[in-house]
Formats: sequence, structure tokens, C-alpha cells
Amino acid sequence: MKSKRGDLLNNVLGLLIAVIGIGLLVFAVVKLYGVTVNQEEENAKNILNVIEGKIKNLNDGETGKYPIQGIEGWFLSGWSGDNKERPEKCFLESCICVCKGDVENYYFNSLEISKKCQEKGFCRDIDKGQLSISSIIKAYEVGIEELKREEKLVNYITFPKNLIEIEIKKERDLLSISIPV
Amino acid sequence: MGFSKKGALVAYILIPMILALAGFIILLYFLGMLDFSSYAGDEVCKLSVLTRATTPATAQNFVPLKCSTKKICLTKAFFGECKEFAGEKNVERVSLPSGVEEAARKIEETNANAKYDCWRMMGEGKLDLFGNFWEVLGLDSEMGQSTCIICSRIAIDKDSFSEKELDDILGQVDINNYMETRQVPGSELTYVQAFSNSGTSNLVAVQENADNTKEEIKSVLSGIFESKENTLNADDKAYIKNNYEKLENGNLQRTYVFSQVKKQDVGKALSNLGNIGVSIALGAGMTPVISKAAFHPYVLIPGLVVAAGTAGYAAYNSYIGNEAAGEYCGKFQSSIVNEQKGCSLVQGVPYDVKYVNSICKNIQGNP
Repeated sequence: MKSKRGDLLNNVLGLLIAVIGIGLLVFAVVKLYGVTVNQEEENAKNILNVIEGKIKNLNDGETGKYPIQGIEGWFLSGWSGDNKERPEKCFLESCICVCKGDVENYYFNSLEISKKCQEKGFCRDIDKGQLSISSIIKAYEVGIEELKREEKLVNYITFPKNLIEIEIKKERDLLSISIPV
Repeated sequence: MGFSKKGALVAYILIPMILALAGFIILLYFLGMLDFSSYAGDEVCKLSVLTRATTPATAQNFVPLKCSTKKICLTKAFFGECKEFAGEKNVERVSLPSGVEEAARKIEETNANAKYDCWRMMGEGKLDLFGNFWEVLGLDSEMGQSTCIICSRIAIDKDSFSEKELDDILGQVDINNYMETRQVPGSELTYVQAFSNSGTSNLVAVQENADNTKEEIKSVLSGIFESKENTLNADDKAYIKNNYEKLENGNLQRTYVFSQVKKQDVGKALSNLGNIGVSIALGAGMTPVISKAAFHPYVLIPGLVVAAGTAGYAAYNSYIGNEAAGEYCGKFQSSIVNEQKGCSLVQGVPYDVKYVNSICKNIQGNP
């Protein structure tokens, strides 16, 4: 009788330790994943800060070309203050945003881009009435059955896994960001 | 007696349980403290490099490299700032002495240290830092492409100098010679000796290939040479103007890049790494043959296209062609049983998309 109770206790204890061990493992994995994701987001914020800093450093009428370290799966976009499609997080101002989303291969319109930025993106207000962000991508049209890759002018710049050069042109009431030809 | 039995039972179950729970909570507490912000940047980077190298390849990509690019601004002014770092944080300012020679030595020292620190930080190229699950299975399409960390960027605040002064200083900068003749701080070894001290890595010569960047620029400029007049077509003018602007606008920024590529054939690995119009001598243990730039296309036509006083800028930038690179080729040390072969390189190049992307297909670490 005593032996059976001892076995039972041993089993319960073993089970408890196993549960704790598994819990610990799950926690460590989640933590590790969290660190990786945070790292990506930190880098995205960093890129946005750098671009914002470069913009502030330019005087009206000046143009600058800057190498920026990209992050795969993120892109740069922006909206003028009077553009109704801009993300809500931009409130009433013109803004630039660095957002997560694979937008390299498929063409996305301004509204779709705005949604992506609202869901997962970081934005900064820009003190200019008009804002233009543009690049040309070779992409598929979403929703079209016969897929054909075509060159499109889009209002976003996708970041590569390495460096990308962007050109910032600052005028009195217009800020343009593009990829230099 | 019954009480005693019950007490023993409680002790038998509860004590280990409480101990296990306490241990669990303590562990959680320390895991929760995995915020590396209290550590210095270099220590964090080293720690993350070692963590990565000792993590099974299948999980390596989940271990972020907490290495941030160092930004160093070389300036003569007390509150001098480098335009290249406008809007960027954590810029380290290094004061340059007033004498031309002293300033040139300081620039050499800063560059040499940046290269050496990068090499040491990345485990002298011997650690397998960029493994992934697909690669282990041989299903990675990017296998054989180089992955990089941008260790540092070094810019010069040209506004703190007169044009002639800066030109004189840059004309005297010879990083290779500095690494051959000067000792690593806190060591009796020169930089060249320190790079090759382990017997497996080396500081190797990098030589310009005649058919690349140099020739490209030369061919455009030869038009001016032949005509001796400004009768260029629009494309040539634009090309020259662009390059001239780069000089004028202060592309005086170098970067030290650590790159690693895996290939079973280490001989082929370097062909990826040095794909920037240069050739890199392969082979550990070779005697480094390093020398200063002897040629730069811009200096061929002083006063014609490039304004007088930019020869020094040009010479500084021309190190793209021949600043010696730290190199390791062979088996990487990692947690994988079947160790992979490849090459690692630390190289100084202008901080320019064209050059950096030629070396790096993928960049990791924090900008």
C-alpha cells in the first residue's frame, strides 16, 4: 500500500517537473521569437528615424542621395495631409511610414498599402503639405487571373536585404522620396 | 505516528515542488531580464556572435545578431559634425590633431582599429554565423551568397578643414602601411601580424582588376584626354558630373564590412566576396603584399574636370582598390557536426550602395 502511494507520488512529481520543463521550453522559444521580432521592429524604427533625420537636415530646394540599410519584408510609403487614404495613425498630417508587408511582387494600390501600414507600421509626421514616395516595380496585378508581370509606378519603396539608395528632394511645400535612376 | 507520516509525505512532495517552482521563477526572472541594454555595444555584439555560433544551425536565424554599426566622425572642430550621419544617433566623434601628418596618422589609426575590431568581434572569421535550417538541408537557394555585417562607418567632417588642408591630409593617408608598421593597442604585434597570428587567417592584398571600375571611369575620361576639350556627349557628362559630385559632396565615408560565404569549394567562395572590381589573393599563410594606391583616374586630369585640390580625396577613395582585407578560408567552427567550409572577409570600402551590395547580398545587424 505504502509502495503504491510512493509510486503515485513519484509519478505526480515527475509529471509536475515535466510540465514545468515544457513550460520553460515554450517560454524560452516564445522569448527568443519575441527578441527576433522586436529586433526587426527596432530596425524599422531606426530606418524611419534615419530618413526623418535626413529630411530635417535638408533645406528647401535641396536634394540628397542616401544609402539606407534595408530590412527584408518591409517597405517605405507616405501620404500627403489631404490624402484621404492615409492611415489613421497619421492623423491630419502628411506622413512617412515604414511598414511590414511583402509588396515586392504584387502591385498594391494606395489604400491597400495604407491598411498594411495601419496594421503594422511606424509613421512620422512630415511638415510638408504634399508628399510623394515613388518607385517602379515589376509586379503582378493582384486579383487578375492571367498573371503578367508589368512595370508599375507605385507609392512605396520596398527594402532589399542589403543597401538601397534613396533620393530625397525637398521643396517649399513638397517632399519627394524616390530611387535615383 | 499518522501525523508523522503525513508530515513526511508533505515534505516529500512539497519541498521538491517548492524548490522546482522557485527555480522556475528565478529562471523566468533572469530570462525576463534578457534586455541587453545595460551592456556596452561591443559586449552585446560579442555575446550575440558567440550565442549564434553555438546555436544549432536550425535555430541560428532566431538568434539575432545584436551588432550595431559604429558611426565614427573624424573632425577637427570641437563641435564638428559629419553630414553623412545627419539624423543618426550614437555617432562617436574623434578629434583630429591640427598637423597634417598627425591628422593622417589618426585617420589611419581609426580605420585600422575599425577593421581589426570588426575582425575580432566576428570571431576572426572562423565562426559559422549565418547558418539556417534550409541551408543544412541543402535547399537554400542563397547558399553561396555572402551575408554581411556592417561593423562601422567612418566619415570625415570636411567642413572643419580648408579644401587644401584636407587634400594634403588625405594624400598622406596610407592605411596599409599603418597596419604593417604599427602595433595593435595593448599588443606587441603589428596589425598585419595580429591578423595572421592564429596561423589560419591573414591580412591579404586586394588588387584592382584592370577591367572593372577603374577602366569604366578611365574610358569615359579618356574622351576628355583625347579631345582636350569639353566636347562630351550628354551621357559622359552626366557620368563625370555624378562622380565629380560624389567627390564634391563628400563621399568621404568608408565602411568596414564583415562578410561570410559558404561553399564546399573555398576557392570559389572568394570569387563571391571580392566581386567589386578587385581580386583577392587566396590562401592562409601567404605574405601580405600591401601597398598604397598608385593610380586613380581622377588625378589624371587635374584642373580639367575635377577641380584642383581633390587629388587627396580621390586617393582616399581609391582604397577601394587596394586596402588589404582580413581573410579566413576553411572550415567554420559551429555546432553542426558536418562543419561547413567557406570564407570570411573584413574589408574597407566606400559607403556606397554599389560597393557594399557587390559584397553583400544580405546584411544583418542593426543599422
